[in-house]
Amino acid sequence: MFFRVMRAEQYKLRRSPVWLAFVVLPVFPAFFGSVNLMNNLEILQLDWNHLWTQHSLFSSYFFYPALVGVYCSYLWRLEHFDHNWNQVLSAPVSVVHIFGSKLALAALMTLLSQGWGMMLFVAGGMACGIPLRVFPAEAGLWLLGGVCGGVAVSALHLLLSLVIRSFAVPVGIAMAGGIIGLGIAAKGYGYCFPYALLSMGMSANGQEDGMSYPLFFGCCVAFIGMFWALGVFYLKKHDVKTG
Amino acid sequence: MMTALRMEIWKSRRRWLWLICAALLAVELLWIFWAFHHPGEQDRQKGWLYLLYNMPLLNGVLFPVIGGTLASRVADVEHKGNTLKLLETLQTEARLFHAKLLLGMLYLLTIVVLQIVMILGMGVFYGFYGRPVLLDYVQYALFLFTACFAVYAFQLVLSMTVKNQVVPLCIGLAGSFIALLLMFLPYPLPRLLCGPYGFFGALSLVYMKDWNRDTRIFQLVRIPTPWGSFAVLLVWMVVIYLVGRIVLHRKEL
Repeated sequence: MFFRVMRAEQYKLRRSPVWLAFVVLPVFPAFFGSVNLMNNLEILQLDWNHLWTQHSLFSSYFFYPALVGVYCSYLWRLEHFDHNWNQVLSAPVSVVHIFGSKLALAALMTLLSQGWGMMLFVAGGMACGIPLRVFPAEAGLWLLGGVCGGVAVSALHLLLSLVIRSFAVPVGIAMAGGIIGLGIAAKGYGYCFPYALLSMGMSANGQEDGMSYPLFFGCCVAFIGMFWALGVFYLKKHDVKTG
Repeated sequence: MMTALRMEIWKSRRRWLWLICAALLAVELLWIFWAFHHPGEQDRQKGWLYLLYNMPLLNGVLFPVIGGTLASRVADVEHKGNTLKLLETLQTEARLFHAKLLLGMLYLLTIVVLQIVMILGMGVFYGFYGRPVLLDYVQYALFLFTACFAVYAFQLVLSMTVKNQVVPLCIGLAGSFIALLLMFLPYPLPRLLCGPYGFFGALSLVYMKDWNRDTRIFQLVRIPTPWGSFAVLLVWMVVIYLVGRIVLHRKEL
């Protein structure tokens, strides 16, 4: 049943312009990170690690959360239109599957966007003249951490976009959350805040130093489970608003 | 015109537009708290200038998205209710556009005034030395309001033209990127050419120089007021307004 619901969700996304955001927006931090590295070679070194700090710093704090916000808002958009909630909730489908299938799609898009971001990072590094043979093995961990943190933010945003019927407001919240996450991560409480988990997972600004990966992945799983459960609870207990 | 504006205010009831503005101010307040949580001697000495240096960066990152969100909330009500057909038979589309621009202007003016009060209050709270140069803060407020309004007007045209609000919001997100990117570029000219987004940096009144990586000592310099850049922004606003009028006039209902 879960996969049939997921396929239905995929049908809803056909011909949607949301893919454009995932293709175009990661180009900006890649370009910006590379230009910034080349402009600051007196304080930064021309290597993959320094390029990654430039690449991930702004994207993980400001733009990936907002991007996830756009995508999650879009996933609930159709349900919030007209009287579609009546149809969704009267269909013989478990609400656990409805929320879960949207979460699976959000996770897939997070994986694709992080993968695309990594490809742009490699391209940016090569354009700057950094040799590919010294490409760091930790990049796989940065990618995995970014995806896990991204899925935790996706779970939160699916809940927010389920509760808030506006398309735009959760995107604003995501932007604000990313910036607040910057402060919370700097204070050392990043494990308690999904937006900070995203930046920690991406190892923005070299945050992996002293970071506990088991705790990080445990927190991601806990947030995903908690927001999924809250979403299901909301769908079960809350009367829908239509029209 | 006042009737149209009053209608917009009625339509915006319970749409939580004030909450978007409050969220922006709350994030900025948190940012200042974080930046100055243990102010040193250098922070207190240069605090008033440092605020004028730091805030345009934050406004540039946040405002394209927040302005896009505000514009989307104001415009989307017509798409959802399919009300453009009705409204534009009762009044010209220009009148509706003007009313929505005015509504946004009211919110933006409130944001700018509250932001100025907030940052001046924070400066007093942290005990910055000396007094702020009020003329600098008045100019900062004028430039911030104008740049924000230009972004809002641009996003409003997009949100009213395109029914699917993903598109204007993604453009707003890209605008945040562009604003940030342009602030770090060493060349000033691109800031004037990339739509309204580059003006958060182009209208900055303070420039940092001689930053020492080891001692973390830097100099902040009050540069001459960039009236030329402000004039270019006004030209952009006229272009956005005229193009918006034409696009909305030609839009098929």
